[in-house]
Amino acid sequence: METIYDEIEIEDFTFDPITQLFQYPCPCGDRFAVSLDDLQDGEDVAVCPSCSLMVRVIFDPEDLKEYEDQLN
Amino acid sequence: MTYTLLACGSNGNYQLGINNDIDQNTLQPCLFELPHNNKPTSILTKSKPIKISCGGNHTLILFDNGDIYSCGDNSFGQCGHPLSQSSYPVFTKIGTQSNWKDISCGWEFSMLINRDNQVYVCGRGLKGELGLGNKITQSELCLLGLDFDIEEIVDVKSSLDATILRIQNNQLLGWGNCRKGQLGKQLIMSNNKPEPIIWNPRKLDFGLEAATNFQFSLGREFSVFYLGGGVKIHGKSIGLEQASVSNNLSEVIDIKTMWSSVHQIVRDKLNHLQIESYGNNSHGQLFPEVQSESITDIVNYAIGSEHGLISTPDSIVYSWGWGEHGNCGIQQQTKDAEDVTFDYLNLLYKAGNDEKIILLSGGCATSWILIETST
Repeated sequence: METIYDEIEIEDFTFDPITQLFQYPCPCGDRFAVSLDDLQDGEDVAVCPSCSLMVRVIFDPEDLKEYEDQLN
Repeated sequence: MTYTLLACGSNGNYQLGINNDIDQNTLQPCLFELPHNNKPTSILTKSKPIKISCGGNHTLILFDNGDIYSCGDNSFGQCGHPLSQSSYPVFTKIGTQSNWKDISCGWEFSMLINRDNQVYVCGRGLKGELGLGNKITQSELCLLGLDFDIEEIVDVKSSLDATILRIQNNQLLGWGNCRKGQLGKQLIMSNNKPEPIIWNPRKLDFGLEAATNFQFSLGREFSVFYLGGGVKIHGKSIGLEQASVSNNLSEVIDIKTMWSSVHQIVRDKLNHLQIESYGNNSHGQLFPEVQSESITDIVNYAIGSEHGLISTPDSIVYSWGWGEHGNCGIQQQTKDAEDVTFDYLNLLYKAGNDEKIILLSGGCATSWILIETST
């Protein structure tokens, strides 16, 4: 069973318009990451590439617009 | 006396200072580039580490002679070294000053305080972490201007993305991410929303005027204050409801935070230390019920990002919490060696007859034990 370690609001992630990734620090030193695409598809879990921890991203679909606008 | 610093845990950016970047689940001696030594050494004879502060992927160590050494990721200058070298695999002295008195590290930045009560900053902070205003989000080591009458800097604490200074008369200055209210009362911006970031140092308002003294800790999305009678949390407090209130016979002597839990160090009526925890327990982060009668007291303690360490009067170090990167050592008590949850006190180190454990520290899935050896 997957355990969600914590819930983090989308505003607390940093968004990189080039990689289109949302990232947030993980207590292991790496960063949780989830792509804008995944969030658009309704995914809401960000994973850490270095460990098993996961966080749930707290957002409403309309929150994504300001990030989509940054792509242009 | 000689001193040896041992470390284990997350090490992907050389933050353990052991000259490699491989995670360690057994304690390794940290290496120091000392003056007049041909090669890095783990034996410290001239001065003693007194504080270890860990960022996301870098580590600073303050010595009793006023030196600071650092290692790990220096991509943004957070080790206090010039940007020309992006990482430091062993502990290396910062600059030429030797009058430092305190340090604190956040995710990608560091604060260094000297004996003249000046604050130096280095590293990167996109959310005001450096306190240098909204134009400067990265800097090599530089002096932070403070427009206050500072007689003394008593304490400095940094979390992931914010810093609080305690100056004379228990006044608090701070800067960094304050979106959750972790830096106290937020100013209202012109769009009628509370400010998300304090870009330049300013006096913080936690409504504490009447308090003469308090213990506090700056957590990731919250700050926690203990004022004699009780605990007050500012910021994101969901999940931090106190399960049990300490009985009024015990005295809270210190308060520490993991990223998602609070740990009160209390002295009970037998004059023994205990740890009372509340908050997120997804990976055994809350201090385990002590199963063994051999653990009657706590001598040293340290709280990391999601794990903790204690040492006992018989000089044994135990770990608990989330130990996925080897920071809690090797599972001694589990059905599954791959289990990353240490919901019991796991033996990490037993000191030899001529050894004394004098300092513990915990970082982002890193553990640190300072050993004093009589010679």
